[in-house]
Amino acid sequence: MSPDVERFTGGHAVGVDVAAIERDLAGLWRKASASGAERSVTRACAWNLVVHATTDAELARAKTLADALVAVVPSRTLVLSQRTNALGPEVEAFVTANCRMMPGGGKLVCTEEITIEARGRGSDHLPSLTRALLVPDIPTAVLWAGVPPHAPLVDELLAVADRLVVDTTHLGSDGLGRIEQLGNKATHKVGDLAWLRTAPRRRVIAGAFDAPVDAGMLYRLKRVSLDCAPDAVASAKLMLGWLGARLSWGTPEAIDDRDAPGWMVPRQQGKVLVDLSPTATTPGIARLAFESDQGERVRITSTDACLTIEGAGPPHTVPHVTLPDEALVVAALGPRGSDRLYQAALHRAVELEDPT
Amino acid sequence: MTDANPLRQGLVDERLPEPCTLVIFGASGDLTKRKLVPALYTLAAERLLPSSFCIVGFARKDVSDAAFREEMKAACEKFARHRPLDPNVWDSFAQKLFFQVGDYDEAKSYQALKARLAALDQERGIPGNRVFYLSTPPSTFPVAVRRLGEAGLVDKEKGKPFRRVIIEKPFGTDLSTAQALNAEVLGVLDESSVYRIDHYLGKETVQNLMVLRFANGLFEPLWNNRYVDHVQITGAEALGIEGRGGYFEQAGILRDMVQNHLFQVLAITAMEPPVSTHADDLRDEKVKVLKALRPIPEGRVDEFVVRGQYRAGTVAGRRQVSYQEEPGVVPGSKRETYVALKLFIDNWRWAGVPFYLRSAKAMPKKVTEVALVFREAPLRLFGERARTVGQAPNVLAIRIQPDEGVSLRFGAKVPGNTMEIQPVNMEFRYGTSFGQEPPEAYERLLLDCMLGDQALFTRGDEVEASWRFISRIHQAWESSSADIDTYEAGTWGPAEADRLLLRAGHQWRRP
Repeated sequence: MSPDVERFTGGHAVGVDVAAIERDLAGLWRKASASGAERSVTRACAWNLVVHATTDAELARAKTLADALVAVVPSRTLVLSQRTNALGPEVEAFVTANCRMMPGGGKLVCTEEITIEARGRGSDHLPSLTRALLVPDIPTAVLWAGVPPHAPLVDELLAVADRLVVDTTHLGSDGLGRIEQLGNKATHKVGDLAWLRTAPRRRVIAGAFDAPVDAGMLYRLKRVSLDCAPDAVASAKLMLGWLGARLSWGTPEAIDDRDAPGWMVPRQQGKVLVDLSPTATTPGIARLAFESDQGERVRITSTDACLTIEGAGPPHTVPHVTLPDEALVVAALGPRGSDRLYQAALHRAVELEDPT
Repeated sequence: MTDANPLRQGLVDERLPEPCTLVIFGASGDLTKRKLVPALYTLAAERLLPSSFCIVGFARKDVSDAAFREEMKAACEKFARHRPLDPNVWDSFAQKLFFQVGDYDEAKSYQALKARLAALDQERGIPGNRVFYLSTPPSTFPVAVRRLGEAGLVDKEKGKPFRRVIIEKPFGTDLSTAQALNAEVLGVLDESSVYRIDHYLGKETVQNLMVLRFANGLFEPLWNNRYVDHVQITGAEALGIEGRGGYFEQAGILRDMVQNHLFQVLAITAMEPPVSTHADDLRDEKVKVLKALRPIPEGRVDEFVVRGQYRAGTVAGRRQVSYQEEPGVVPGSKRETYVALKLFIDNWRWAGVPFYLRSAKAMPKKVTEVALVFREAPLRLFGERARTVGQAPNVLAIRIQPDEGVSLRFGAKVPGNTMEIQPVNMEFRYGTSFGQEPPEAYERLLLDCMLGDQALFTRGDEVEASWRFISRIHQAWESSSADIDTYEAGTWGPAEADRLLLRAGHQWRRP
């Protein structure tokens, strides 16, 4: 947590009484006001963030993320810790107010964090508690680690959500399909940290086809090869999905007689062979190579914190920007956090998941 | 070329300019080091510059590319928004920096520049797009533009490759010099290629003024003479003239701040909703406000304008010498370091509403804000006592700098058994409500120019309209033998400025 953030904690479980939770929070506000002396405490609240966790690791990550978000997203954060098989009280809640010193003045701006621990059947209370504790008139985002399952809890939470924020980076083979399915609902949009994480790389890839390279080669491609780490297949497919969406590729046909995944993809007046090799030792996407039917080649390779672009001119290297998770969440909550291009890329990526 | 790149389309998080070269005239100057190159570095760090891009510094002092890069690195380390510098970003950015020695009024310097730019185009795959930034003394603007035209580096063509010229303030020193400069510039360039920069327009809160007004249903219905009692616009500097006596003796605060920055803020505050956010639609509305400013009647300037000059004093615990003691100031000078104006906008929306503008050096603190002071409730329902203990008019204050934000003052009942009313502020602060820093004004403006968006740049007729009003005040002062009011440094100005408002039953806010 940033050094200019001051934390006020209730320190005791306040049960499932929503009014008690609100009272406890109000008490923290008074405490913050008292310590602020001559200046009043101002509240800024731009989002309700509902963060779901089912394991200690997910809870720890959710807490870390919530702490990091204090400085960047004024919000009421509800951390829902769901432990189906744990023993103890069915539902407990803890409240924390995070106060931030204002630049140039003594004023404080607070965000609030309510952790609700649900054990056993206590999980059934999570949707109603969530609905009761949301700050009115501001949007709600549900941050879900992994793939949201087919479950009433998911449906009820998403019913009050304006945005679902997921991270498809390490999803399994059916994960992208489920995310696409959830994104097709009209009530909320999906922001995908994996997609936003690849934004700087997509800009570099796009830039590789700026002048003096003839961008027309993108319509003459005969082969696209992508090497990635074994745990980055979903991101790799999202990247290929983006290319397919932008270049109007047709429905892919899987090539069966290969060790690594591969597809023949129709394009205008021809086909593109798309290879995906998930054996790279470099994290994430290691290499993306383009070859046209006229022999033109462009290759983008990851090396340390840089990307090297080899194309028409001399090779050049640009820094590879990596954004921290909190910055990605901020982007996912923003107006550009969910865009049509993502939906199109996701659809193409799902086609690669399950080729005809 | 970029337009044809299908992968560029749909990248939602950027507005990426076409490959181009930015030539900075006055590359050895302070603005280049403090603002321009640090802003460009930040744009590079945020991946907002095109892949094929060059910056060419152009100045009289001959330095090598390597020395220029070192100098700019030191400047970025000190002034860039993203610090410390990212070594990878810097290495890549430094490769785009070049230096070309030249004299602003020497034709052969422009031929050499032309050859250098052609070579860079070839080497970097830049299709001839160029932006020339005139960060030089104002006296060099006409000759620089003329020479650029003679060398074929700019012309009146509107097509591609684009050739744009950014001109720093001041754009003229009065109406006639502004008109002459406009004529000179537009003799060589089309208006669509001229970017008169006023960095206030690049400030996030100035743009937010438009959003506040036109993206919300709440405020605009109240934004008129029916509900607004008066408007106060303040542009205060805590610093004195900081040794710039030579410059300030020529300029004064009216030229330095009011004609450009404060009038732009005034225009955006008072303008009608534009039909679109397209540059000319926006500028059409701004210029209408400036044209609607009621001329100050001849011989009555003192009723509408107060000027002052600071005496020695203390500003935020720091000793400030008087203006008269500043180096470069002519003894007995009557040059104003404080000005307050009472203006009226003679149009349907603002008829009868005073707009009070003030700007000064050596004020208690640095602050720029617009405050709309609303009319009081029609009936004092809670009696005289409630009023005296704290009932006050509602004020919507838009803070432009520092701590950008918006606050709304309203009366609230103090908890207890009595009917006490206390003004409270509802505040929105940029710094805490969004998880990101607003960009520096120059970042936004440089990017907009490269993208060909003139919305945040002033048009020739705007500049002339503001000078038309300001020049009349200067003429009146020049023909007046009256002494200038003085004020102690570190205070909010001369007493006469308070009386300017008191005559209408108003008083200055203490921002």
